[in-house]
Amino acid sequence: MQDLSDAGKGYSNGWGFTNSFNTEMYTGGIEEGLPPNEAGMSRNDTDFMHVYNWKKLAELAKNKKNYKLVNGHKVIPISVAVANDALFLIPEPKSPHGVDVSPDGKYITVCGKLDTHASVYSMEKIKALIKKKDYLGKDPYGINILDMKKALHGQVELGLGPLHNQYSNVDGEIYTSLYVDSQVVKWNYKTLKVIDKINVHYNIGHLCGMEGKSADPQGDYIIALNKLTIDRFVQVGPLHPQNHQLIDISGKKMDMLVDMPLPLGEPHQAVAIRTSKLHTAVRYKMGTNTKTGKTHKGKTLAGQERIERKGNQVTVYATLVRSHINPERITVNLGDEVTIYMTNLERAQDETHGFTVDNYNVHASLEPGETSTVKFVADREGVFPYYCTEFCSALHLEMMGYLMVKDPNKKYVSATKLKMKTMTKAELQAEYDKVVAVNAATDAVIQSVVAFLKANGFDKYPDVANLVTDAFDQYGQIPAQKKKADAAKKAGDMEKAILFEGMIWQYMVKTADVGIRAKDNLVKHISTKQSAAAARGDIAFDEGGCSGCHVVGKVSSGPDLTGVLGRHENGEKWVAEFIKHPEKKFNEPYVKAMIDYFKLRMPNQHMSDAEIKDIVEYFKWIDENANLF
Amino acid sequence: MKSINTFTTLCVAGAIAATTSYASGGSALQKVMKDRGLNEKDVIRAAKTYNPSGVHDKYVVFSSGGQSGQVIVYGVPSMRLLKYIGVFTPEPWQGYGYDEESKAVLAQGRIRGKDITWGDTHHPGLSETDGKYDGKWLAINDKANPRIAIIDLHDFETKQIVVNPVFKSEHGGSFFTPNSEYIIEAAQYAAPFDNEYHSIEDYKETFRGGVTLWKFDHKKVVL
Ligand code: HEC
Repeated sequence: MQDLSDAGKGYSNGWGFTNSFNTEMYTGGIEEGLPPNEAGMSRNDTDFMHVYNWKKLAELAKNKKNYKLVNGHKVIPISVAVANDALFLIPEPKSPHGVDVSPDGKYITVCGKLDTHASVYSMEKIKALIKKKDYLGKDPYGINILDMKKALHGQVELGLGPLHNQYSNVDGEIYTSLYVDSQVVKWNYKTLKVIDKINVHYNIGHLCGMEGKSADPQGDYIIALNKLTIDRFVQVGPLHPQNHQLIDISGKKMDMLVDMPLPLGEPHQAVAIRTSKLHTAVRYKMGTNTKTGKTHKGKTLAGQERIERKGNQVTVYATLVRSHINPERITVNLGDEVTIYMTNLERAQDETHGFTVDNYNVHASLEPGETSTVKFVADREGVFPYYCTEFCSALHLEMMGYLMVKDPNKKYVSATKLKMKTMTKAELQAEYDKVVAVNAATDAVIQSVVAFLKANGFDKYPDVANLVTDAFDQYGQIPAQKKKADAAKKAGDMEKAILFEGMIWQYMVKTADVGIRAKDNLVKHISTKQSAAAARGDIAFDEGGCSGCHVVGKVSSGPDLTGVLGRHENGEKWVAEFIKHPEKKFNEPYVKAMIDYFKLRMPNQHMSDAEIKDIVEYFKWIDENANLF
Repeated sequence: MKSINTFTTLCVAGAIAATTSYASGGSALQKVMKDRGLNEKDVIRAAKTYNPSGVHDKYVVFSSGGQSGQVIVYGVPSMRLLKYIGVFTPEPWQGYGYDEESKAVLAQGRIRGKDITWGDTHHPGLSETDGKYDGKWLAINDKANPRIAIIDLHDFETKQIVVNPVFKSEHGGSFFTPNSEYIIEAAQYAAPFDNEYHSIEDYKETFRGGVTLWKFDHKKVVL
């Protein structure tokens, strides 16, 4: 029976290594009064490491006479592998777990959990033995056995229950988990010396180094993947979470940094990679089937939404975008087979939409650009809301529709229509005017943001440029809505015109939302760097509650503080005094006028002298960048 | 002359502010340490693992999810969770197992016609170029039902599941060869390769272990 494996690399590239156990070939039988498996299967002192040449085996598998087909799968028999010098055995300490090839591929370290030693095999010695055909004998299946002593570089006593190994960026350094001792041991597989040990909690299985099994291990940390947690965390019932412990290995002694409870199964092994090596996407090409990477046959763009019917097959081509699902009503007959293709038309980062039809056990998560499908038989009559399951926007709640399942054999009597209160012509006109005015005001804000972005070269900063593209995507939807609103108005349908104007406002709000985020990002790029004092002042300004009344660049509940230092004789001193004790200056004519204007006396926020100094520095920074606010 | 003057003032102000805030910062720290019973070593350890809002981790860990049949993703050194990836098991948040595209992936993991909607994930493996991790693919095995799944690291989604047609359980997977030419998968419990009944008396003759080399196309997801 086999256990862990590893692929050779560097010097041992082309070879594979796999542990085995139960060389006794014990088959148990407690029920027949025989000793249990665990006793019979660990009787011998050694099991066998399988050493095989996968490059040779891959070549052999190309020729029909070298393999048998079992369940349609090519299987190379032992005899063929042996005859081609592609498979060997080397004794290893019994019941082995880890077999781990060193970064340069020259050494293979094996740990057997019932032996206190780790065994380091030398690939140079193994290759030499194979070349000389220096075999100890054959196993019952005819596989050549290499002499363990001749293949070993050496053995080291580590402790009880050694299991797995990881490497670091220091030459020869290796980290091994000790299951029974609940320890990680740091040692050197070349000099065969133990360097350091650390306790873990409890009963470690695998351990994870940073790229610790690659040709390029990074060091820095080791994570202990412990099997038992016992008292480490708040008790949550008899089933405990797992405990992953982070160990700092950058110093001479290992240092336990922190515990992480993992509440999802018993993780066995983990692998770590530098974040800088991952290049993930934030959106798909529009209409992608993400599982195949190809364009989805159900890809639907705005304006292409439709419901097609062929007999009892109903196919819906739908789109999702903040904040609606199109179509909003799907009516089918009982027993119809319904297929809904959905495309998320968003391009904005993190604008995922979810989709479900209530009570039909379907759910899809659509990331920007993704197309996916839900399919079901409409086997129950009734009305079933469907909705977006991700909180995607302020109008997320409204992103819904109805699946109506009718029984074609039933006659439905329409209930009396609830008469909505109708509005007079004048009322409708007033509402229309109001909506149009709000839209004009909102558009003015958008135009000012656009002017700012353009004046400050937004396209030089990719993060800002992406946001601007997203904003214009939203803004670009407006003309079509405007056309409909105007047409409705012309036809005298004010109700409809108001609804379309309302839709325009929706798009404007989304545009402004992303646009203002772009502006904030741009300001960060182009403003002068804040001094440490100004940065502290920025924080003190927020935390002292100042920003509750003062918005930099705008008059709000208090005056705009841009340029405040220049507004007074001896400005820095005056401002500092005013912040410290505003009440002492309430009788100054200037302040009096402001109190009249704002109908508010600025409260004493009890700022410390140090904080006030920092806030003054912050005001200086604002003045340097006044054009940006 | 004037600008030099301002510059000096700035420096002095900065220096004073810095000392004061250090002193007040120090006492705030001591208060927290006292309230929470932390010693200096604890605070250093906390500082070594703390990510302020918006700061990203240096490493990303892909952990097997054990009996959940999933993969767990977290960051190092913050040890904070980033994602669960649905692999052998339906995962409702991602719609995995609830839309047709992902059902088709899970269906690849059927064994002898039977849906198997859980897995015992053991060993994740990262694809390699020249023996070094290249950040493109993640493979993970299922010990209970001999299968290997491939996750695309460009979007962290499971794209393919393959079933070993001869093993009845496996363990020693999923290890990439140095240029991701193959993925090594070794059996665990010996069992007959075929799908027939064999007496335990015939253990030595008909029960077998083995190692499977899955050809891996580094560009496409085809095993
Ligand atoms: C409750 C609202 C409010 C808060 C909080 C507030 N202010 Fe004011 N602030 C005002 C008002 C209103 C004025 C105008 C004078 C008045 O009416 O008292 C003003 C005036 C000022 C002025 C003088 C403006 C000028 O043109 O000379 C400065 C400087 C100032 N505030 C700074 C601050 C700072 C710093 C904080 C935080 C520590 C703060 N304010 C907190 C409302 C507030």
